Amino acid sequence: MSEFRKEPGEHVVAEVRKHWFIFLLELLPFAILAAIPLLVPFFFSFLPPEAQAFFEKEPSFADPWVRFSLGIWWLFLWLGAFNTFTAYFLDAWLLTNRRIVDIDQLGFFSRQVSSFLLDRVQDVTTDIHGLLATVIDFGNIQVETAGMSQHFVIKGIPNPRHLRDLILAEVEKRRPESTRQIP
Amino acid sequence: MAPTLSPLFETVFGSAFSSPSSFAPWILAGIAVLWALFTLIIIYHWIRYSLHPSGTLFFLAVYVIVSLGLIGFALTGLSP
Repeated sequence: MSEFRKEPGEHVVAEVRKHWFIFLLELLPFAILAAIPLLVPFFFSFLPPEAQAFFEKEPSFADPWVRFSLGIWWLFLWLGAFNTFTAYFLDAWLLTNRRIVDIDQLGFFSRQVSSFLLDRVQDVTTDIHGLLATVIDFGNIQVETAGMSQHFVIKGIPNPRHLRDLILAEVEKRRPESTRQIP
Repeated sequence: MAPTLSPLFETVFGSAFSSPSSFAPWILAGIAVLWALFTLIIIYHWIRYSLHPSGTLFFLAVYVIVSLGLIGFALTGLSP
């Protein structure tokens, strides 16, 4: 947690991660790959007799080779799936009463942390596309800051409108009295 | 006369591939080293970067328990 240390008087208003549905989609390939060996005996019976004879014997879970290979296959799939979960859990956006911290865990050896002060926020845009995103309520948020050509974007977060309101409320609190908008 | 592939394979590997237990020591050592390496990398990242220490302990415990279960399952293939 060395990249994020709260300053005196600073507190976290919101901590945001990708929507669980996006995470499940990322896990789907692992689930399919894990299930494939279980389907092999089922599809084996559909092979023509010549092809079955080529394999000498029908694959069976009683075979030590099958159990051993399956255990190792699942072990490394589990490693990959947990790697995906690690990226999901360690990849977060933190909104504090002073700044926004964007932590990007791109892989085990690739991590990017950037933060910008709320004083520099000029515009916050939400972006919800598609039927699923509308029904489950997830989307993207884009934050534009003054004096920077780069836009900060967080993709696939739950309830983006609520986060936009939170950001704008915190930005409003930090504005001098004279420049505040009349509600 | 050059040996055919099958006798050459037999000469080099002997009965190493007749069953998982016949080559278990070195292949298991390789798998164990790989698993331990990835596990250390995972633990390092969670301890260093997680914003929630209690969650870290829980998820790492789940990771280790499931991994050990799968290793145990693979080892049943080694029993005669």
